[in-house]
Amino acid sequence: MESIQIAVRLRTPDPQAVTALNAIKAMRLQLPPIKLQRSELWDFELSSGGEKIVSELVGHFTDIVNPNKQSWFFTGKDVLFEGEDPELQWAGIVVRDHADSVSKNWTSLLKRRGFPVDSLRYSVLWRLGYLKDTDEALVKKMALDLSVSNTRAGGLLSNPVSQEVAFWT
Amino acid sequence: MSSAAVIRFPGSNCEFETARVLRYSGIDTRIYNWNDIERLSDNRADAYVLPGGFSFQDRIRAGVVAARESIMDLVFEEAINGKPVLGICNGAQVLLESGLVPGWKPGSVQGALAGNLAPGRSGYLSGWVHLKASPEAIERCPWLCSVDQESFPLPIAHAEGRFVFREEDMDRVKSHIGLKYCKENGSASSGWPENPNGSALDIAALMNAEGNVLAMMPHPERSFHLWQVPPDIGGPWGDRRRNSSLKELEELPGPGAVIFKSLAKYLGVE
Amino acid sequence: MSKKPSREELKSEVSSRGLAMTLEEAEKLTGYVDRMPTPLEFHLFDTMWSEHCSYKSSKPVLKTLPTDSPGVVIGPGEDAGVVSFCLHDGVEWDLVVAHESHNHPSQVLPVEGAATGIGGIVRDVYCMGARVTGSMDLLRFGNPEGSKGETTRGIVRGVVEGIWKYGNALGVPNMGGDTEFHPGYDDNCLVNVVAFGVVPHDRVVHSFVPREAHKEPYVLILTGKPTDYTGFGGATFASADLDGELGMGSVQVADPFLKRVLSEANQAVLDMLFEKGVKFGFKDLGAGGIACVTSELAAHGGLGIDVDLDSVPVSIENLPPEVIACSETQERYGLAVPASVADEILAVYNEEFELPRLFPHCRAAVIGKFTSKPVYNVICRGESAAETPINYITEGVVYQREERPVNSKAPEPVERPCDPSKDLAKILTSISGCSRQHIWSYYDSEVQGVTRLRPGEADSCVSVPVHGSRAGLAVSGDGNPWYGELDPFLGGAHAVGEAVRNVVATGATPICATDCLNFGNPEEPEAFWQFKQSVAGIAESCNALGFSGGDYPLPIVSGNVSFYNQSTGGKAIPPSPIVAVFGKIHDHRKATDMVLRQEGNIVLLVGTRKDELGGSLFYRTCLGHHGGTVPAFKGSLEKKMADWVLGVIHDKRAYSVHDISGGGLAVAGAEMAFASRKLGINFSLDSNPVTLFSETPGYLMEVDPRFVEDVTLPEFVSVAGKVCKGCLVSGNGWSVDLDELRNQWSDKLASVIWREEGI
Repeated sequence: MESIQIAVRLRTPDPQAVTALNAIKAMRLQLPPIKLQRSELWDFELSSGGEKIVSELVGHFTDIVNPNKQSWFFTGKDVLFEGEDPELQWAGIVVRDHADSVSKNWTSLLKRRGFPVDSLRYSVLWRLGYLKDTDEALVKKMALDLSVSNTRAGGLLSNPVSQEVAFWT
Repeated sequence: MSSAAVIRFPGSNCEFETARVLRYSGIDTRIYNWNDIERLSDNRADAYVLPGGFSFQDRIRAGVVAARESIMDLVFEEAINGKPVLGICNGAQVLLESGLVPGWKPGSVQGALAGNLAPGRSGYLSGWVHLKASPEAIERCPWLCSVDQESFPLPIAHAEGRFVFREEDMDRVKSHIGLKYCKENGSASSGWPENPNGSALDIAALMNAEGNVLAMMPHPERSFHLWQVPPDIGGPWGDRRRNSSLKELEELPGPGAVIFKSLAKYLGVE
Repeated sequence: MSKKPSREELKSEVSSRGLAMTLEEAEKLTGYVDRMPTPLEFHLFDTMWSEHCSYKSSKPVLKTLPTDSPGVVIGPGEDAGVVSFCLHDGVEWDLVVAHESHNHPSQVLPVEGAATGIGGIVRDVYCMGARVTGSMDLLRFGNPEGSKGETTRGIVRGVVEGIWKYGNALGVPNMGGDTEFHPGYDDNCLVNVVAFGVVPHDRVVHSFVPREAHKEPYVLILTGKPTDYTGFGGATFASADLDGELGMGSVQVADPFLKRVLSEANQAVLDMLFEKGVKFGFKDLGAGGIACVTSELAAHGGLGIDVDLDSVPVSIENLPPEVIACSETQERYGLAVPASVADEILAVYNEEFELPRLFPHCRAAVIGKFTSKPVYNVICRGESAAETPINYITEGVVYQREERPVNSKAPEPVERPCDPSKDLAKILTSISGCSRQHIWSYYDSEVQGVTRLRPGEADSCVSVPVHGSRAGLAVSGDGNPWYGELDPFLGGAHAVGEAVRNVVATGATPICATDCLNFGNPEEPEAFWQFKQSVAGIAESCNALGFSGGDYPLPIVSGNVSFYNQSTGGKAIPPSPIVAVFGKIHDHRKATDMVLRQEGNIVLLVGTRKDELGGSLFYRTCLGHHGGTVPAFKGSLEKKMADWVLGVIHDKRAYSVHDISGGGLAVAGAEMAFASRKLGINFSLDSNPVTLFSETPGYLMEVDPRFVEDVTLPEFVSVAGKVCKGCLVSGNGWSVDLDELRNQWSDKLASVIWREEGI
């Protein structure tokens, strides 16, 4: 079994990220992120074929990636996100629903179409860009604080009851 | 005269019809913009309604950004003081994200309206469903106090309408049920499509412990008149709709009217 | 400014800027300005002289369409058509209608294409001062099960997603529309969009600066989304010069959230202006962006304008002037108002509705002032970016295109075996014949609380748009590609005919129509001939189907032409005239649906069946043949049938009505039974393919048994059968249990397109 993850980004500014950054500004945090970027993550569990199969599959379904508006790549530690300001310190928060029909429906569709896909998970990756010289541990803490809305005023990016979050590395 | 305030967030889109049916029900109703806080603060209403729509385009997730708008501080305060508060569709999502419903610890987010789960489809779903009120709600909830034990149809139109709770809360959530999805004849739903979104316990509307705050996914404001009911719907409402005279079609209430009639009764409107 | 360029210099300018204009057109422009045009001028004229804006190929042909009728307030020419609708509480209300295509963008970016399609068309209605009370999408896709099925399925899913994500958020009820699949759209889908709304007659707003601007200073306010480079025409330019990593110039990004807030803010501004009694002009920004809106508002009001591009709110710094001026950033409007009220208006947008807080750099700003000198003058960073005699901008160009008839005479099938039960089941579970419910289930058709009949409940959707008034509005859009392919004239005629029948079947009297004419390359004589034929068909049909009394036609009040719809190899789509018809029912309580009411009632057939099955669902689905004989269009008979049906409905004697179109009488009956759930129809007619499956125009109508005793039926009406118990249709020697088929009928689209089962 192989696990392969791809990230998909809009080539134009993502309105969701614009609104989210606006909402974060309104929270009047001491050290808010200066930039915010949003990507969609697709996690494939494959029985064979690896990146080649995923590339092929992405080429088949414009719902997952439409090259006319989105760019995509295999995620990995060394890959820099397109358009991210290297002058900032970036942290990533992955948000996914405990159960979602997008993942379910795509998994069964791909299986039905004969792709060697065992499962597929859809999630959202928020990349938060903090001022450069901020302490790395602090960045991580601040990002995590923003990640879960436990109360009406605190946290933002996920609902604690229906979603799970992870620090993206 | 009793009054209601309909709160419009950027992206709300059901504020006008909601205000209209409140007025038809004898309640003096005004629409307040999200930033019209001072005016609202000076003219407190007897009841508050958060209308349907797509506040902030459901970005990040439905209701979360609106829940943080300053005007919600006022609604929050009024809700805690026991004033009737109704959230319809997107308004319900705002109430969940505000921690007013289920509201065991007001302000804490203890439930979610997550993306619809339905076989073979995702995203938005519109259509008519059948509903039944819980005895607790009829007793406690100002928005449901005139509802009887019979099932009735209402339209839904949402992409995120699935009530979700933590495993450990599943028991205590039962006494908060306002409306449940059910079969046309009122018997318990056996899943899709009677329960259109995979909602826990078939919940379509959920209230706080006191019952004054109700978060409901169906749209009663779109089914206020009998003429708004689809001609092909089953059950007694369908028969009434198909067999009505011209006069009845115009004058008889639709199944959604009872929500606003309930409030009027609660507020003592003649 | 530079001196007059040589032909060679011009040629290289045109190609390096990725302009669509011909060298001759570039020379004409050079003649106007008497020097090398500025980049802004090039792009402005490139847009104004595009087929989309200038109708340069179609204009002479479009003049043949009937547009005049007593109810018409504004015919084709402004952003939308306006007809008078109803009188309520002493206020005269008008209906505003618009119809457009968004075909090419939807093929490339289905979600964004379909979304901006709705965005553009509702702006056209808003900017006439109306509240938009409905929209409708008329969709044509390739074969989802064919050789290009994978692309097609992705496009269908994307288009539907774009429609719901954008349209539902706007708060405009979606009235359904129709969807057809034909392999001729494999490389070029059609996304036609209709929007409509209502406005008090004395509050109709025009899209030009008012006469008053000759006497007092008027300014131009731009409001909405900050300008960026999206939708900036020349794709070559966009990726090379502008944005390096993000080569997205040609994409339009829709934002329904901003649009919704902006619409409410606009409404508040309009209320304020009317209250003050101030005259103003209002126009949405579409093709050509700021350049078009500023020049058109001025030119059509007989004035010039000075535009200051440095005052334009932008989201990206240092955009070249031609990009600021010509980008097609969505969600923007232009207002021509007296300078004296400008500050108050800015406050509504920027403070009351807080545009700057909702979206970075979003705000309303004064960007120009109208001048008595008839010049279009643009300044950017202290330099002149355009200085053009303004009347040239709106003058346009016209071409006489060649036409050459296409011989499309096709043979009829030699044999026509028919097993009614099997054939009907086959049709109802085919992609062409199955229910469209799955698509509609993504649409919000009830927001605003004005919807009386939703998609699928009747032949057309009916709403009650003026609160408190009983006036109902019925709307339907149609166009059969299989007819258009076999006979473009009849394709046009029946597009009007079927839409009229759909409106009539609910009890509404047609009051106006709009058209969207989708064809191939007009420079190809065959495609141009097809276009002319279809327009002639529409004209004939409209002339025959006027309901305003006298010789008045059904007026076409708005529309759009979309050429160059073809595959990469140059094969044109089937001729696709698509028509929307709007009808009024004085008392919406009489609106009739297609749900059968009572066992034992009589089902009447209006319209005698004829042997004309060319392009029919029966031929295509059951015989794998297209045939050749498309149903004839008989205008006066259509009119007589419509009048008779309307009379019966108004007398309250019709229980349910459904028009006969694709699939013929048998399919019409089955659709009524599906809608009724527990009732069906037992036909007492011959069980031959002509009776059951011919698509001769007509209606099925349910009446009570006394009706046929009380009323003498005209010669085109006969008894077809009886309403029976159970969801079924049957006839002599055949019967189809529809409960058994219901799942397949209602789930077919989802199964093939959304779940890709059996692919």
